[in-house]
Amino acid sequence: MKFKALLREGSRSYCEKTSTQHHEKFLHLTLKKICITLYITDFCLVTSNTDWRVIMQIQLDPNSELQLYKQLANQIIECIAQGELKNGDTLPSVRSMATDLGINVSTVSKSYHELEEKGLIELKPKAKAVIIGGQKRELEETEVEKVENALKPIMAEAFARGLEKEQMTSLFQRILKQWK
Amino acid sequence: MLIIVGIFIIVGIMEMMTPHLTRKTLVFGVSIPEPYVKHPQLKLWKKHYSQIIAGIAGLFLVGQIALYLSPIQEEKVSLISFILLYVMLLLSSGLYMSYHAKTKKLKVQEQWEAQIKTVYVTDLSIRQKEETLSPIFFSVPIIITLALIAFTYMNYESIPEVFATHWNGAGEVDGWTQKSRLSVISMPLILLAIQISFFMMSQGMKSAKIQLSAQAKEASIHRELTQRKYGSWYLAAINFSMTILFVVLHYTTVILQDQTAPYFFPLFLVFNVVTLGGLLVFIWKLSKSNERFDEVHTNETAATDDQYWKWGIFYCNKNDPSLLVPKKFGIGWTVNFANKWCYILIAITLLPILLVIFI
Repeated sequence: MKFKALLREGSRSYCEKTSTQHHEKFLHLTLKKICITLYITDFCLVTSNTDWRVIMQIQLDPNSELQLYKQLANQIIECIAQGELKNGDTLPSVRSMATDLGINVSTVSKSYHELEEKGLIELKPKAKAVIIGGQKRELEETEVEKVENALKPIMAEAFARGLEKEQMTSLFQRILKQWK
Repeated sequence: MLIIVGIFIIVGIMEMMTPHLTRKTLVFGVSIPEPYVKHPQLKLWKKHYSQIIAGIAGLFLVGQIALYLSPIQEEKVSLISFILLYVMLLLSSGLYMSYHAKTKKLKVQEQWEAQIKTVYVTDLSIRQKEETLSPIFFSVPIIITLALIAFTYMNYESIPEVFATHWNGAGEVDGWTQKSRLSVISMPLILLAIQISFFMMSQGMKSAKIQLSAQAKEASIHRELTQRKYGSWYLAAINFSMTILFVVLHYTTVILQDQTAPYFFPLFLVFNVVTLGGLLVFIWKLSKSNERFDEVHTNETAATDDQYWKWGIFYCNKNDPSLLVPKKFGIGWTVNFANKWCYILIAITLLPILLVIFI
């Protein structure tokens, strides 16, 4: 609904300036295309980042294509990116987390180990998991490369679908704005 | 007489209110999927349960009053009234069990599980929030009691050969005990046992599991925090008023050797007011923070933990590291039987009873 309204308003305001009938239809179509692409990409990239998760809420969907452990890891990473989980904060122990969520202990454990491998948490004795990510530091060359490699296919897909480079940048900035 | 009648009335009202005070997703100890919390059959059963309990409690109350008017001896009356109270509790548990089974059956019959979508939800910030009181509140009373025991032994020689150890509801002495190394500290020991169990419970509340609902997240977060906060405040209030009561009683009777000080009765009164009033405040705060589920628009529900509960009363989950867990039926906490500390907690709680019997 929002997109439709946006679309109509955008094309109308542009037409008022140029006052050409022919332009309107063309513009309408182009805008529509952009909006749909934007919407799809937006949905793919930001789907797990909607507003309700403002206070470190985790919600896992068993029907999703993404495995549960992956969903959990992703959402914890987002909490770190948003600055809600800070360096030195502790996550609930594996068993506590599993009980709170109502999922298997092994699922949480797998998720925590993945976070440890990524260098975002440190697993300490007595079942403690401490956040070590989130602070500003010099990234190694290989790490930057890793990010680039992961990002490339997503951006390529969006570009191939017709997303303008400028829109991509603004999209990027919009997402980055949510993180501190 | 007034006290016993009062107990009957309070217990009756509590039992009546219980199904309405628990979370809406828990009906007679069965987890109800969130889209079904407003099921008319459940509402009807809750109402019936309250009505039947009201009938039973009313009947027992009349029986209790008749008991006082009958020419039965006074010692027998108190025994019979306690038996009556337990029979009443037994009857209401039986009623609960039958409704528990019915609710479970309804859930299976109407295939609720097949029509819902289970999601797994939690909030990472809750465990970091320090809503419960700090352990200091629960260790100070223990230190006071230890000091009292030491003080008693320092004055052991001056303690009389026989001293008061039991009081009735009106604060009059009705039990005497022979002096010995153990018996002089029996009261502080009972106090110590209760204080240690309270200490463990306060720690257990802090690490108890967090159960959020999928469709009323904010409300369920609020409820979890309220239960932790007021649960620990209530525990501390009982702890302090009980410590003051026991210390004053012990000091006055054993050290000062005064068995009928005028301040005994007000002290009993204060203790009872704190215990009962605190409970009412706790219940009021909790029921105010209950999730309402006014807006249920999807078929999502949070994961259930029914598989770890027996009859909706006993919780045993070996994957859950916590000692306490919020009750499924009723207000308050129950232990996780898979946690080995729970047996120590139960043993400590039973210790005072054993002490009373064997000393």
